[in-house]
Amino acid sequence: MPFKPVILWTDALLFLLLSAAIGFWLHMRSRPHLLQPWRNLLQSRQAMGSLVFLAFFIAVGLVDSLHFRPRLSQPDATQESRYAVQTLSLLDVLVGPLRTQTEKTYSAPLATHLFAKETVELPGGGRLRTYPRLTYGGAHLANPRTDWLPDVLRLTAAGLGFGVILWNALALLVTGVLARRTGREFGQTWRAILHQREPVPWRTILISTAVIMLLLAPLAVLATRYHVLGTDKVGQDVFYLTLKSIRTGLLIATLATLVMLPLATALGIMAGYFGGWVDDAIQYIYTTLNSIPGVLLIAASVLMIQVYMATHPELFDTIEQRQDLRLLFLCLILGVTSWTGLCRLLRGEALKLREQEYVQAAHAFGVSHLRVISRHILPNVMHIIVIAVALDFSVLVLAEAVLSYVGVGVDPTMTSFGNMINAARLEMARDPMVWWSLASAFAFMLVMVLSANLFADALRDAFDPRITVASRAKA
Amino acid sequence: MATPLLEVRDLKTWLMGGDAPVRAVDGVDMTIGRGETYALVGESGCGKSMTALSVARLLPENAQVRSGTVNLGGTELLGLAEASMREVRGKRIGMIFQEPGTSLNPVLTVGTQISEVILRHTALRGARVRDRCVELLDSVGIPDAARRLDEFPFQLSGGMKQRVMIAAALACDPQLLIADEPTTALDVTIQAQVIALLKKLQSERNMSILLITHDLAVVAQIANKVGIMYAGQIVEQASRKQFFEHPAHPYSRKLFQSLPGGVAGEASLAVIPGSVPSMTRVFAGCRFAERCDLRKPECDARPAPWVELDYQHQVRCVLHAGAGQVADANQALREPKSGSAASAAVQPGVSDDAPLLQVEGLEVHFPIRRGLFKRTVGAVRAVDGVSLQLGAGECLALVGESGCGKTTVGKSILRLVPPTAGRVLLDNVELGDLKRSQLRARRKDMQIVFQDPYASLNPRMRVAELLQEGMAALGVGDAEWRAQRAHELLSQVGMSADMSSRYPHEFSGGQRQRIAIARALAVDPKLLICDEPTSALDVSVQAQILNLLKALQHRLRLSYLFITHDFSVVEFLAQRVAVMYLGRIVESGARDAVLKNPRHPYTRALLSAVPTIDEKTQRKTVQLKGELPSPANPPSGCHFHPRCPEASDECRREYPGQTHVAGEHLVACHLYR
Repeated sequence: MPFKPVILWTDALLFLLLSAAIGFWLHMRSRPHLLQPWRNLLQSRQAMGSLVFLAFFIAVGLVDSLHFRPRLSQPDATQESRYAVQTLSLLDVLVGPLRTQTEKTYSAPLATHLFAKETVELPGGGRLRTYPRLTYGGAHLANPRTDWLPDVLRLTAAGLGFGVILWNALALLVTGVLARRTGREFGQTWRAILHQREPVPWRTILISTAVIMLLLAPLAVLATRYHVLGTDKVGQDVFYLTLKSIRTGLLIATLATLVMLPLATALGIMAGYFGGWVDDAIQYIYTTLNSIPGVLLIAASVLMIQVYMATHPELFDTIEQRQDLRLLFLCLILGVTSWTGLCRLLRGEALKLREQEYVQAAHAFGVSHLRVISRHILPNVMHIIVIAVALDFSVLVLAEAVLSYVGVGVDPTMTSFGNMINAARLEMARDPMVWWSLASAFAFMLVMVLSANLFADALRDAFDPRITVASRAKA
Repeated sequence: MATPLLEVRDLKTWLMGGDAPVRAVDGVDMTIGRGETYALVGESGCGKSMTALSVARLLPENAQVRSGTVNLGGTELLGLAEASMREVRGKRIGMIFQEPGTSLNPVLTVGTQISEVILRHTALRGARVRDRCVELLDSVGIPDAARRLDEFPFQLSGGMKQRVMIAAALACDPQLLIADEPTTALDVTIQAQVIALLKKLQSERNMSILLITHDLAVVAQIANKVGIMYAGQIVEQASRKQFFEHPAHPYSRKLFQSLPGGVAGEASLAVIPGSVPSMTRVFAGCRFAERCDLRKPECDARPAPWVELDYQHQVRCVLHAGAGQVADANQALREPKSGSAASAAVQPGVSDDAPLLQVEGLEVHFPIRRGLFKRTVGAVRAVDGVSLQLGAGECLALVGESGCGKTTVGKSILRLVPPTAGRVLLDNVELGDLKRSQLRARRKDMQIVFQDPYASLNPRMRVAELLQEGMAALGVGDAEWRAQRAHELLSQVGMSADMSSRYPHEFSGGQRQRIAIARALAVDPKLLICDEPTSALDVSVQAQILNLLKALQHRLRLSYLFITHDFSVVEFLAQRVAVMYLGRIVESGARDAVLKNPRHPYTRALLSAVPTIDEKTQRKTVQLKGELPSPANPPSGCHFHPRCPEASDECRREYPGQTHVAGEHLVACHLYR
């Protein structure tokens, strides 16, 4: 085999989560009342627009989660195959040269020369202090001073053209499929999309896709010749680092939720439903937990695991495994410290539902507590859980950035938004300023969190019982 | 009558936003004279509240007045700018709403809320505002008005809050008072007080009232003119006398017939088949045609004509069109529905065997806890020593005002609320002695139907799942049998079996209540506790449910413990009655003995407070002072003595024991010692 698949802990959990989401979807498909709010969501322009952006990030994250170790080339085929120490992901393969083409140190976006002056040995024997040419960025230009601008413009135009072609193909595909499904003519369908007469806001979806494509395609084309977003201190491409950071952010957000959700759901419903001493006990736990500063608890636990990992280096085959374990542990800690909010919400809701007459009717039939909880309480608080998960997503992405910045986040060798910002921190004082690391981390994170927030907003509207009741009453 | 005060012409209000506009008000004409009370009557969803809101221009955002004019004393309201409309609201139009609890701002004192209106609309300032507030509270009959002004809404009872609302509405002497179901949320004794107050205020101030209600009995008490609304239109308009003596529209007739009060214990009620049509559709013919017994071909062809029967009596019905047909129409209307009365006649099945249910000295106290360690400092005595007996196939009505503990009695019999003391014997088995698993087995024999059909069905479960849940929990039959049984149950309560795969939100209130009844019947109970099963329903739907309950009682020999506050329902369904006051039963006995010859002063007051539509049997109303005291701190001696017109010193000292007045008829009152 040319490679050996590696399944990191976080990969496994991420794909588990994905399959759970698919399972949830299959479960709902036959239940129209559960599907109704999602259908509302599907028709919301805000939701669909932000979902397109979110889908881009999720796709990058998923592609980056397929890990393997490539086989080392060996002269003798009879020997047992040996694999590289470094674990790569599918994303690394896709972006190819971005990963390997590293410069010496900082260079500005699209630059052809290094950012810092260096002493260069001249072929004639003398020495010169100058900005040396980059090894890869713009290396194809014979005379950067005159060729650079036309070349960049040419590549940008090519990228834009490529994006437009791609987008047109997509728009044709969507319209074609839609026309086939509804049995209308192609032109008619296209006009329906354009004038927003379709129930699903296809126009918004297509516009969002256009924005992404018109931004990404030139970036991608330029990235083949230049470091589009510059390079960092050790010469790594910032665009590549930003793409790699997406997975870290996504993982933190989703896996911490995975830890938090069962805790919050079980304890919250139990507290509200049973009341009495169960309620008291659970309330005391979360009140106590809430009064400890979260950062302190996280810092203490992370430092503990750091010491443990430093004293047991033999446990990890690769750097990636070590990074991964620390990431997992961070998710765990974040999950443990963040379940109280949702728990409190669910407790209140269960307290209310417990007095509902259908729950009383179930008691009158002698239905067991477990069944009452699973059939009557849980389905009726599901909307709160969905909304809370969506809202927590962006909070956790930001939490990772803050924690890594403070130094108690993910492993310092792991690429993450927080680490990028932390590394760029000192260079902000430099003159001229090294701004691109921070700016690109900031921009990507902003778009990701903003689209998650907008999506969560639309989700809350779609699930808000008052809004759905009102629209039902109107109908 | 000189120029009318309010003239509404061809008012159309549509609710936008859905797939099709809802034509909530679809061409309403009405005229209210000065000093007149116009009652707009209809079932829920017929557009009566929307009419009132259109007049005051307080419509929700998605509603639009499509056409029409609203003229108040010469001012065209629909054309006014919002700023000038604010001058009209509060000053010329006062409004009171159904729920006094939510109409007052809980963080402002009563005085602040009333003076707000005065400051906005009059030139009064300073101490004179306060004087005016005191005067207003005095006029709505709130004792010690000066002190009450500085109190917050939570310190007032429901009836008091409604009085404060009325005072605020009257602050600027409006010409028109719009009262949207002002007494629906109140108990009968309080309702009687509020109606009397409205009547008094109207005659004092020569004010016009637009009263919105679904309760014909309230209409009979107070209205001068009546408009019956159906599906966005007024279908009949008449003076009170004409309306109650000769209702002309088939719908009005049916409404009267479906009132349980008029029917003797043996017959069933007339019902209006079907339900109110969806108002999104455009009607070609008469809107009531689908549910009308007297439907003719022309009913579907064109809209029903607006026929003037008489000065002040108009009706929208084809039966009355053309002079010669009036006699026919009356003939047709008068003809009794064949079979309806006889077919479902029920024999009350009182048995001589040991009673099915025996309750002895039942007490439910809820502890009041205070402080850090949740020390018990007192108890709410929700149920304080209740004893009952219920034979097989019998219906016992438990009657009382809200807050008297009647619902808690029902729930504690089922062990949904744990009783503090007392014994509950079902089939001679003491339920309190049973272990959890044994009790579970007994749950087959006793079931409950709740008040609110919207809250009693889990919105996330299909009808079939709802019906089978109880059977599954109690291990009755296998899955196939249970599915079969669910279908049987649906047809038993008059619904079709193909509804079993639908979800509750697809059904109307009456249908949901049928499903709730079917669910309770699923395990073949012997005892069914009905906790106000019809009080959330419209009159015509109430009649359907009551008929169903009666038929089921007869067919399945069920025993009902029927918890209600509505005496007309008691009269229709119950064989025996127990009247509850503040956690204790004050009078019990056979239905006729208690209703026709009430002994306890409370029962008498309660019965006299029930409004009747029959003007001939005018009873002398015993007005009760005050309201139900708190069960956390009941009065000493007889609980009723602070409100009792016949209280003596003895009543203040000691709680009276039970006295047999005649046969089964028991009374707890010192008057009968």
